[in-house]
Amino acid sequence: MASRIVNRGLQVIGGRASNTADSFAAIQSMSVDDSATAFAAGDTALNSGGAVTNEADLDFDATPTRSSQTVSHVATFGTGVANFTIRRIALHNAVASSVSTSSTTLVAGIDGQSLAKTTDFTLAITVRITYTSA
Amino acid sequence: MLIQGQLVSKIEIIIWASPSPDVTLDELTLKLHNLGMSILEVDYINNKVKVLHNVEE
Repeated sequence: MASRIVNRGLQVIGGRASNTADSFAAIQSMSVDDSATAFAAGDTALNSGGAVTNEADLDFDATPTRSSQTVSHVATFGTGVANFTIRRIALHNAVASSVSTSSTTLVAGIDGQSLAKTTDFTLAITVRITYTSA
Repeated sequence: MLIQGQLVSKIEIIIWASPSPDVTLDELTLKLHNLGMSILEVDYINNKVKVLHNVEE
């Protein structure tokens, strides 16, 4: 299992914070997919490391919250969606309707999971990013 | 100029599963267990089960 903010995500975070001319959109959606490929720093889309078979994405349930240096993002995948083995979870700086396996929207991700979702349950996934100064 | 300190991020995921109306929490917990998931906490008050909790820096 590995988690990382990809280089593109660092650009988004820095650009948003300093209000650069790039005008990056905010981080506002979450995806899950069944790719066994690890995220790499240079990834800009879910399929940067190879084709992705199953993917589902949702806008966050609510505006992300912050406590000290930790920002929490929550999305709830209902009984009718994401019914496959979830291996990766990712954040995107685009609305879910604009996110796909090939969209250049990837900010951060966690790989190496194995969570077999079915129609029997919903999943509320919280992704918390803590920024610390080493 | 020497910059002291480095920005480090930690990403943590917390996943709660809630049963559909046709399934009880105990049935869901057993199902998730049989699917090989780690059951970390069962919340009978809020009718949900915590199934995964990974932290990596």
